Amino acid sequence: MNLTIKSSLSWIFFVSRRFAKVDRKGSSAVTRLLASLGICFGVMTLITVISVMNGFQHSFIDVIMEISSYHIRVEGGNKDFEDFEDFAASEKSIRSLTPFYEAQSLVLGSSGKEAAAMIKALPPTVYNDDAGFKKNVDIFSGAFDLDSPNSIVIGSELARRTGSRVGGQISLYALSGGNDVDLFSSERLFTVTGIFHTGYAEINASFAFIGIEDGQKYFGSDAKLIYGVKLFDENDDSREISRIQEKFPQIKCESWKNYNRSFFGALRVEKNMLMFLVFLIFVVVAINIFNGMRRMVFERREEISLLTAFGGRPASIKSIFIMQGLLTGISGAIPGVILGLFLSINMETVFILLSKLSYYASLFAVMLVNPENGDFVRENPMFLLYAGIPPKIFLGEVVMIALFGIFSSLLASLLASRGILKMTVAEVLRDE
Amino acid sequence: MTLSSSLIFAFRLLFPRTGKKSNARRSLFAALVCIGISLVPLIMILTVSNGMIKGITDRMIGLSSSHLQLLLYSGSEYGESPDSLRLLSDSIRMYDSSVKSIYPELQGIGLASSSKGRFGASIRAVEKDVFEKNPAFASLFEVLDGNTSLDSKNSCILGKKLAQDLGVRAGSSVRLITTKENASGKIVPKITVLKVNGIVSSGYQELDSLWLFLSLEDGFSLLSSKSSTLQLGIETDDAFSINLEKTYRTLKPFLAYAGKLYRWNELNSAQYENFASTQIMLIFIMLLIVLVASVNISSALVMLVMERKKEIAILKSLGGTSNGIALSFIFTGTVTGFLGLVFGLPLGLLASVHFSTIMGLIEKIVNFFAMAFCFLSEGGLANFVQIRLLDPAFYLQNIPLVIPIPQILLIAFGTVILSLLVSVIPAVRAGKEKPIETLRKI
Amino acid sequence: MSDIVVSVKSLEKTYRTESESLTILRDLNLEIEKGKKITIVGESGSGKSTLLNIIGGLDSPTSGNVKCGQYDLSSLDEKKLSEYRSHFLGLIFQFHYLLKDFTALENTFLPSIMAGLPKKKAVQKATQLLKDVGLENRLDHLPSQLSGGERQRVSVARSLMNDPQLILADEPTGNLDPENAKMIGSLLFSMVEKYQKTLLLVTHDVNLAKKGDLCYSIKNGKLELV
Repeated sequence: MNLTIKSSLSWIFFVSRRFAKVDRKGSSAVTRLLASLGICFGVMTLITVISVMNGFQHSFIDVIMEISSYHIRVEGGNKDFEDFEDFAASEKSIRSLTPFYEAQSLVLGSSGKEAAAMIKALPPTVYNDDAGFKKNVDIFSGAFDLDSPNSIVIGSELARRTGSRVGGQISLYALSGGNDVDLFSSERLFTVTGIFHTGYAEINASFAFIGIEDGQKYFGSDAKLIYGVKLFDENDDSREISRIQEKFPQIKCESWKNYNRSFFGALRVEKNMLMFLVFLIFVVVAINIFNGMRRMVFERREEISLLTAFGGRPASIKSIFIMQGLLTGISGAIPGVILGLFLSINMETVFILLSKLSYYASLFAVMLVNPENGDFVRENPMFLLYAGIPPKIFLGEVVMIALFGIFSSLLASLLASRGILKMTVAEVLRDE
Repeated sequence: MTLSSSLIFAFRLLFPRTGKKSNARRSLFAALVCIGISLVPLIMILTVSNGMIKGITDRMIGLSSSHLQLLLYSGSEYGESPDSLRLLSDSIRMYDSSVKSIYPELQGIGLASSSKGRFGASIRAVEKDVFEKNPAFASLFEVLDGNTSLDSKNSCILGKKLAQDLGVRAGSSVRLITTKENASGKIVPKITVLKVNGIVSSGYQELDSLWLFLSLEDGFSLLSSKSSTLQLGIETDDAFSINLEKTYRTLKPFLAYAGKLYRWNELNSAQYENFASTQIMLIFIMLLIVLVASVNISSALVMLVMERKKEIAILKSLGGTSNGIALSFIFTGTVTGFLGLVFGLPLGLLASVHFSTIMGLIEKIVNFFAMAFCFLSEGGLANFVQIRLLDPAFYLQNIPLVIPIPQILLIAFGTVILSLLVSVIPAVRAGKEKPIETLRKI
Repeated sequence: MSDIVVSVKSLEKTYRTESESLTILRDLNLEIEKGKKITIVGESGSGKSTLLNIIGGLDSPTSGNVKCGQYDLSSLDEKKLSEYRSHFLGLIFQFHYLLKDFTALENTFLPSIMAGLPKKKAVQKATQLLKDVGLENRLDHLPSQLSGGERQRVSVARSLMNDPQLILADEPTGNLDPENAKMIGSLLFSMVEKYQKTLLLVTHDVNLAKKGDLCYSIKNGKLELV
């Protein structure tokens, strides 16, 4: 008779399953149910919170990546880019390529109102060619029409600040550039052909698009040509950059991760901190599981001694209980994932609920203290705004969260079963 | 069964005489600890977010919008010169005594240029003595370099970020490029050399990153009337009291021909709403953790009932009632929750008070691990970037400590009620235990 | 010279508390040959269970040497100890004998599958042994559904599952009424005889003790032939 791992596992499983089945009734069933529910709740909450946060963050990250930072910004003089477009076309990981020029400007509306703006000179076909761009740039007045020279499409907030409308004129009054660019000129007049709106307020307030040929004309010979590279997978950036640098050593590449480093970094820190806080739920549930397991070990001490007396190894007997922990974890994590995903998809309803709840709560509080102010209590419109932002679910994160749930249950059982054989067998058997 | 006997039984449940190992008691203790530790982040988040919101709001009101803001109509006669503005201010003060001070301001944009480059600036032309006279300016602005005097012509005071970008210190000069109409109404650029008298910081970079202060007189000479806005910041006793509304209602018709009057919360409502809703969501999530912790009490009570089956049976056979026994267990559970509160509340308050120290410590630990990870995965620290937990570029530095007493009392009250609620079901089931089954086995 | 299955030399077991120490076994020597049935008789508290526990590897002596088969009990690590219990010994207790959540059949084959025997074979063997003890109609009954005598019969069958060299029985009839006690006593000895096992039995029932080849009692911590 050979004691292999397989045969050990099979009897451990046999005993463990029987223990689990028998525990259906009575108080230990309740504690096990509560433990499972705890894991389920933790997994569900963590998945929902992370997905909602992803949704919020991505409502501007996506905008920035589609319009401003791209995935890789490749910068150089005009001559440096020979063959670059051919190269890019052959790269499998590159989704799209947009050449452009950029300049800082002080724009003046026809009423004389001024505002600072970032002018991007793009190919006029970009709106139709680049699906990501089109998705994030919402034209609510006029059209994205850069076909005729001296056309300009401006952000909604920029339009408001300069008092401009479609068909009106705007002048790039001050323009940054090299020696062949006049700092100030009232001759650089553009006609507003469209007004756009994105999910990121800063872009609405400071961006304007003109045709790439106009850019070449006005931004001067020193202006650097930039190619905005969009990839299928945003995490391919470092790999792609090294490939580009190999072939074109004289051009500069900047990944999106560096371009908006501090902003994206701050977003990531926020997300991690929130994850860490919600993770406390698992800690709390694990403590519960630990105690429940201890109790189970105590209740089954006779059986443990018997199994030891018949030659069961301590590790194997501990495994019986660890398996219970695993079972609790899995039976909590799987419904947790399902509920979490379900809740994430229906967050709109949750936010509307939250809006009403906080309204009534503040109304109640105000009525208690200062009833005459009752009229001023208003529903916070932010919740309805949040309700409109779709949560973003990353499969990798969901799996990781589920695994964490199972892991915390497992760890708790492991720690609880450590003292299993501290009570000597003879003691228990003698305890008649 | 009398109430006092229920309480005595509950007391014995909590503090039994025999020292026998009791899993249930250990579980109750663990439940207590769990409630305690779940309260800590809740209180910390409540306090810190309140502090941050107060700090940011105080700065937005004190340094930017004031309590009420009058935006003069373009081309208004009151906006012709600094003196006409002052006349208007005086008449407002005479009209309504609830107005404490008035700060006139001319706002516009320009390009600030130095050897390091050209940067957009938000130009704020203010009274020369505003940094001393305005209590909010005096207390909330930290002077990083130089002084806050705008007495001499063509001098300016810069915000920290702008000064950093331009690479200038107090005593250096910068060039300011603005647009102005000339005599025939054509817009021409105007380049002025300004002397930097001082550099200030409000501690909230999101607010002051582009600020450049000039004297009101300089503002009028450098900025075009078409493109700049004239405003009066009207300060009352308390921006948060109901009297502000009264002052608003009094002044609005009075000033109807001069401009539009706004309350401070109207001016940046989106931001305030954003803060409020974010805070509510964070607190909601922390409440969930307390909820889960309280379920531990249920679990522990179930175990306790199991362990004490004999005693319950004996009590019942001596005349104990179901309700009386249930009450004992409810009491036990509630007291456990209360003890958890006693443990966690002071801990949470302590953590809030030392928030910045704690954050600093956590930041060090996180960076340590990040450095180790970077070192191992990339073989060197070349690509390592320091992780900032509360990046000063986006968050308020120096968060004021605001202990929200009413909310904390509410949390305390809620925790006890919650503990009570989760104790009900196991307690009622304990009461329903049939003595005969248990006694037969003894 | 037949093999010595159990060899105990100068065994001493002393229980120490803060104030006093109690020596239960003192300089005890015992040798058991293969195939013999040895009984130890005495009142409770005389130390016979202690001796059995030590030989069973469930307790350790204060000093002395115990060797069973090729196992020197003082030098066994956890793994070897488990192996000793699982392969060398068959145990029968007075009270705590069966796992309450498993059927008679499962209780019987459990030690075997724990030792690595494939389940099918274990079930076969267990069924045969349970037939031998007369329980072929009770295979799927839980212990709560069996009488005291039936439970003990399962215990006997179980002890033979792993082909042990030595059967240790601690008061196997202690908890039974006289009729069942007699039945179990006979059954145990006949099974041991049938399967050619060595038996060390401890009891306070003199009639049962008389059934053994040799009968000892413990006086002053030492063994004396009766």
